[in-house]
Amino acid sequence: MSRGNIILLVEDNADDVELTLRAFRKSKILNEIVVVGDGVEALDYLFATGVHAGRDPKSMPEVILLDLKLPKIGGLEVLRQMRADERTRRIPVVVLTSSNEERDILTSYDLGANSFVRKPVDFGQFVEAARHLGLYWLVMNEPPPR
Amino acid sequence: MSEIDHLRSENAQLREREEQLSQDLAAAYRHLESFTHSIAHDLRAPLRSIDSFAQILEEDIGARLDAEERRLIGVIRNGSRKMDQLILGLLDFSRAGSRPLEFDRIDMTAIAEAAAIEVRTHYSGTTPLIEIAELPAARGDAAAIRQVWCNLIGNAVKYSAKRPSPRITVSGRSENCQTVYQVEDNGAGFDMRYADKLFGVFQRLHRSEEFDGTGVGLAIVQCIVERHGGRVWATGIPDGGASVQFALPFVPGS
Repeated sequence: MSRGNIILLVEDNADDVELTLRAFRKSKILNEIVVVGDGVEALDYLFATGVHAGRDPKSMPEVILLDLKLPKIGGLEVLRQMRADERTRRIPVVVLTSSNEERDILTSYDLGANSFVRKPVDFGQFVEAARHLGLYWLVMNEPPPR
Repeated sequence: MSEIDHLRSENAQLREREEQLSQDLAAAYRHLESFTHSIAHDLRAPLRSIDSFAQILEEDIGARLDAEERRLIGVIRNGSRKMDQLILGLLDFSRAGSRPLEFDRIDMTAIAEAAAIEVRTHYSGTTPLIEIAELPAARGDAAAIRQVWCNLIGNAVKYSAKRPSPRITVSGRSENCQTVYQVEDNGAGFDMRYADKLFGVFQRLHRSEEFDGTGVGLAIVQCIVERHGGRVWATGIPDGGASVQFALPFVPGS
């Protein structure tokens, strides 16, 4: 299950990072997964600035898994800035968060999220969710032409 | 003249006070919102770590453990799952109390039927017969009242489904400037001595081994009904069924 492209995981909770990586591994998703721990680093990665200044800015992730509650710049603001920029406007963004607050769901879609998934507490369900996400966004979904 | 001046100044003071109170209320509401938001996010994250890593442990080394060691991991996982249900229940309860209500005319028969279908969809076993009579219309927030019906019918299903011939009846009537609605079942019932506990948050009259649940369903019902200016009460007989009724104020033209 790989088109050889990168998944960008924006997540500050180390336990959740480990669980997500494990869930992808268990679901046989072998894409390279880049992990960034806050909103500033997420934007730095995407626009090849700051700590990621050396990165090739033309190589963009196939899909972004975005937590909402992040240090420095929150997930919703990351989403807003991404959608305002030509280079990142079309990258599929899956909001992957603990919240099931109606307000968070509505705001995410309003800002251009492609999907909203609540992290399950149960790891088995987490693996199942990761499998579905991988299958849908990395295999079935037709990415925007570059 | 001085009497009028006095009244004017009192009036101005009252208005000022009213303004202050509504500002306080808005602040309290915002505070509550950020509180529940924080519960949803921050309390559930460590819970996910506890349950998930216990599960990983179970998968990775479960085969090497003896029965007692595996049971202990199971205890950790059950505890965290239970806590997750309680947190979600608490969130539902706090939303029922703080979500703004939009009042409209409600076709109660249609909404009770829709709720019964929803309960059936979510219930895994065979659902009992649910009879819904023609119900008087009401005035209220459709989504909130639908939640009331879902919780009441859901409870009736849960507590009667294991009976030999379970039966649920939903009925309503208009009386003394109010409309009264009733959900009646022939299920496990309850002891009237504990009736006052029925509507408390996390209060349960049955052990969770007998009937699954967190004890927020009826608390949410009471919260919503009272926000509509109504009241709710219940009668029951142990092993003889239960009946929950709620009354909403009758609004002319509704």
